[in-house]
Amino acid sequence: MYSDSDTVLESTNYKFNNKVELNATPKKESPMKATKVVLALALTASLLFAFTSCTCKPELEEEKIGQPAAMTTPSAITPAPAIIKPAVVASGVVTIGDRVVDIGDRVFPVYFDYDKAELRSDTRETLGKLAQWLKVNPAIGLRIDGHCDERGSNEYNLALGETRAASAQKYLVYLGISPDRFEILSYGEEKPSCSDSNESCWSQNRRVDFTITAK
Amino acid sequence: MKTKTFIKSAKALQSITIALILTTALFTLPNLSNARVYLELDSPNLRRIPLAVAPLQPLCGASLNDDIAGLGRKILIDDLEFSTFFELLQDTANYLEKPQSCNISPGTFDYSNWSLIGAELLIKAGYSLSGKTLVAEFRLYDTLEGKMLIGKRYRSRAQNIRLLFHKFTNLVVEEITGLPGEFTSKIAFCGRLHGEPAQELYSCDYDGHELRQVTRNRSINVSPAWSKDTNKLLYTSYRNHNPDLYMIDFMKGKEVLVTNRKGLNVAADWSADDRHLTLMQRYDDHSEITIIDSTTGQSLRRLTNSQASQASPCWSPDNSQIAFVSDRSGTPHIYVTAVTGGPWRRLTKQDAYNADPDWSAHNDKVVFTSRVDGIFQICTINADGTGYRQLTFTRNNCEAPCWSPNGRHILFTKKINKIRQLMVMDEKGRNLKQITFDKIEKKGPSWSANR
Repeated sequence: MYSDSDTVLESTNYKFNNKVELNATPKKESPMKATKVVLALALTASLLFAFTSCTCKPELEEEKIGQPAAMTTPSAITPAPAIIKPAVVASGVVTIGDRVVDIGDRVFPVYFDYDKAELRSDTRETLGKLAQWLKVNPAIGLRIDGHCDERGSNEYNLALGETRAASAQKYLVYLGISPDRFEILSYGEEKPSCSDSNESCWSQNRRVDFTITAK
Repeated sequence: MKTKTFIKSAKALQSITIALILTTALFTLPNLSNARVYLELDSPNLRRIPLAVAPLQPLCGASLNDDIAGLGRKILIDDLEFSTFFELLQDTANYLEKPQSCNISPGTFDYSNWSLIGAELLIKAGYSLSGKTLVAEFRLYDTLEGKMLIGKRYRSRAQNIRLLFHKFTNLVVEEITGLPGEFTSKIAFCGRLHGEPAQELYSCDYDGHELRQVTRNRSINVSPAWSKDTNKLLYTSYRNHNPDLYMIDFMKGKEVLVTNRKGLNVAADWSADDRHLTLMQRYDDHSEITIIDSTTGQSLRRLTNSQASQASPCWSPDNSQIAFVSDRSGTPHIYVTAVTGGPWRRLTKQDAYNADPDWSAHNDKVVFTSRVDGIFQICTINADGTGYRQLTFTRNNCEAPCWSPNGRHILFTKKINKIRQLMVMDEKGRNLKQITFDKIEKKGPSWSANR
């Protein structure tokens, strides 16, 4: 990697746009609001925030100084296509069976035991009500997101989240809902609904939640 | 006798020769025929060589700058202590030389001043700051034989002082062991401020300094992985509502989408020649291990075909095998299979939860996370399944280990005061050191070779 014969060292110290602001205080927002903020920002994220351009000079010269080799850092990123926010079919309060649920643009989550993707009896009961609701609302599609708590391997948790989402989907299909109304996605432990380190918080994070995607 | 010694190494000899040819105007050629063997890395009882770092002085005619002198000497000492090859002699107050006496060149000082206090090696360095330009000269001396081993002069902007000193300590370690130091390597990791939805990529030096934010897409970004040539960084981002794999190319100054196959495209690892990637992708609604072309993203092979979930693939250093995690026994364990597919071999049998394997490029060891009595600890095991060894014994979870570029250190995360920080220790679990102290929660680090 390192050669003594180099008279000019190449790109040894790539440099990104800004120093990190370590004292930035996290914004306090409700999880729901935060989700919307993410969505809104995602539209412009890659254009505005991905990388700012930086034409860096060579960082270091060794012995006799020649013409420095040009060096660049990421200046242009393929912009992400604009994201079309999923159509929100219904908002506010809906009735599912005997439950009244504020769905907003999402439906209630279902929960899992630690390190498990098997459906608990309460999870099956909730999914049963969801299936009934989907039957009377045939135009609605759902994205099923699988999540884990923070314990254990992040990458294994991504696999586990996918399995949890697939378990929920499989049960809904078993209850008679067409599989093409669902998409599954895993966030592993990367999108917690609660960010403390205790069992009450972990149990809320081991979940599958649903987002309405189409009508 | 291995070649990782001073005189036996043709590479070391060559580099000395080139370095000295470059610097003949300044320095005289040493008599290589009498050069001694400094360290044999494979020796079971590696001796630390006593080394002194003289107080830094202004180059002849330059003016005194206490900040540069203090910081420069600290970087030299910290780097060389980290390498674990040297016993740093700290007591500079008793040195016999006058400070600032313009005596870093051969012939301007008495070697016995240093050999008397036990130093077998001596580093002398001088600096000069004019405007924003910093010039630094370094010499490594063998005080017993009374000769110079390395002479180097660097010039850079003063803000690059850390890089400039790291460049020299890389050479010092290479001179003594035949393998360069790891001081110009970079660490990439995912970071998040508490409670924030966005998780961005960051980078820092091997010692935690020079922290930089790499991505600014306000989405969730995971699993950075440096290419072996250090020019590219892979990562997975949710910014298009699917975990797609992206590659930042630092040489070309751009970023490309590698694959956006529906479902997971995460935990990518580069083959030794950087041509192929192994990663987790969705097949049949669960995660399997695949191999794709690193340039086109084209799928080359589905390596696993199982009812269970697979995760975290990594290449063996000879590119012939892949280690990965599978929960097909009910809980996650580490398995190995040939890169061409075929039967699996279970590597870990201890405990109920083993994950995050990383295969050393320099010895046949796999480092991984294991849940021991409810706490995640860092362990290593030989690639043949023997030699299981627990390296951390802590009450706080340690996770996501990876090897340093030369395989002598292990980087991992540890929860300290509710925040996961980056930790480094040597390959046997000694010399544990916390390298980050800020408020960013850190995950999934990747350690590059020297850049």
